Amino acid sequence: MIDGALCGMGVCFQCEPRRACMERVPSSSNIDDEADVIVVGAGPAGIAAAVHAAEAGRRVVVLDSAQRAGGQIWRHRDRRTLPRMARRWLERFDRSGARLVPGAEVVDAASFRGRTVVLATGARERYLPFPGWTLPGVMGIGGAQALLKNGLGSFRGRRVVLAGSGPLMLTVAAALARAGARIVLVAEQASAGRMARFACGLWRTPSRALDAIAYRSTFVGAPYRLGTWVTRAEPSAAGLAVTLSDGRRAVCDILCTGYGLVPSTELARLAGCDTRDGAVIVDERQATSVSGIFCAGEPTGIAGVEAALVEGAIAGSAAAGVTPSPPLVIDRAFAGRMDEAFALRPEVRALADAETIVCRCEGVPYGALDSAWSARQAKLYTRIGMGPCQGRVCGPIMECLRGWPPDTPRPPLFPTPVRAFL
Amino acid sequence: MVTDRVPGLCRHQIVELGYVQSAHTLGDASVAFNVQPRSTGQVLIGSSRELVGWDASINRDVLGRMLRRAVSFVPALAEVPALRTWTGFRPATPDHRPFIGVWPNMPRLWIAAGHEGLGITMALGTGRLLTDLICGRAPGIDPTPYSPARV
Repeated sequence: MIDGALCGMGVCFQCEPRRACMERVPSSSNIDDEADVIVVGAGPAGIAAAVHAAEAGRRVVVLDSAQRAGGQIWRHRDRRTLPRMARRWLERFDRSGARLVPGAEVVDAASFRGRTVVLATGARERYLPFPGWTLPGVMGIGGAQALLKNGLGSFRGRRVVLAGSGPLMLTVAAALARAGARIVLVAEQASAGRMARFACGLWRTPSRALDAIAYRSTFVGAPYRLGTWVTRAEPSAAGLAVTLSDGRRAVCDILCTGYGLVPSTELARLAGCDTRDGAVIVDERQATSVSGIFCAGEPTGIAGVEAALVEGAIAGSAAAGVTPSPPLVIDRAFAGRMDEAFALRPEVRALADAETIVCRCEGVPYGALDSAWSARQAKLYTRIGMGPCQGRVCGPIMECLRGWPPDTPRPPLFPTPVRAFL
Repeated sequence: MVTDRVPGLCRHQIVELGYVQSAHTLGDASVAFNVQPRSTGQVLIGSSRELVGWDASINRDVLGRMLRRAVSFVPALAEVPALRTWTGFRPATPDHRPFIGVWPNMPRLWIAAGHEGLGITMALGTGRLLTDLICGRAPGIDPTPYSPARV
């Protein structure tokens, strides 16, 4: 297992060595390309955008920090392991003529000026601090999944507790169980009542209901506790001792935690795109407030893979100057029901005590924020958000715990060797 | 620009003599080599100046010039990861000399401001001059070039 891994996708900079969670650390250089359309991100939204723009006859270049197209959700080493829908899109992407530049990290938006760009930068996991969340063995739920998919973590025989929120927990619990982990328990903070209402709504999307049942059956035997969350983790001789909100305790080797997803909007904000409630504002063509820049998928609001594919198709068509036919409709109803079902309860926003670290890069404890009144001001006083992760982990924490919107991103968005600017 | 933590790379500030020239250049943009280690082990790389009014956006050409100059003095900087770049406003006067003295028509308001990028360098002289003026002593430094009444 990689020491310190939290996010598993190269954004938290907690691994030793840094970004060891990535197959290869991406490089940064100037875009020197004749492409008509630049797509940033090769997840579902980016792939759909690239496919539609390329099929409309445009020269398309797709930049992604990973080694293969697919993004987080379709991360893979062997395409045959992917769901059929993913394989179909990747094959269509291969045939489209769009050119993928793998291992390319976009750290600045200055070169977008005068070009047509589709931002499909996806999302990352939301972490909420609790005493002990910085201990070795505590990692993200999506982080564990990413390590597993990249073959970078061995979970065989490990006792795993998953505690947090969202449907990803079940998917990852199932995947970990298949990889030989022993799932001790899964704790979902959402209440049984909310979950029941959500489950009743699943008949509208039966494929998802079947998915949920299939996942559940893979790790039968492990309790799935609703309305329960982790309040503390401590090292003990037997392993990581986890205390739950119902007073029960569990011992494990790995504690996976995460509270849903946060749109990754840093690049869009750096490019000057307007946002609302943490999401990039787009019109019906997926155009942002900046001329020539389109945005698709999770950065416009967490809505899942189906919505991302449709938004990507609309954005790619708009970037190519064509209208998709037949007209595409984005289904946000499912996302709305998810938001309601997995809404964060106030208790999980109040688990950190004064000593709990909230900024892992700079080692800032929660109590140090007491006298601050904004993210900018807290940064000036405590260095919160000034480390290599550039506030990607602590920014959403400050937003969630204190209601402070994030500070303006500054280039480079990821640590970049000085020579890249010469 | 501020870099990642690189303890040991740079133990004290290094600045080129041309910095003074740069700080008093009337032109669209100028750069000068100036690196400063921070207590965190990070290195601050400067510096640049642009006469662009209230526009605080980062001019990538000026940034590139500034960094090429820095790397020409300290080649090892090229491989150091940069964390952030930013700009700020420099308090300057039209003739590039600071205002030190009593503010016209407000006999109880004393001012010491507008030192541009040389505030710390000129701090001691500024303090002595201002003290002399406030105490009504014959100043040891000619106050005329710095008089706020000149504009």
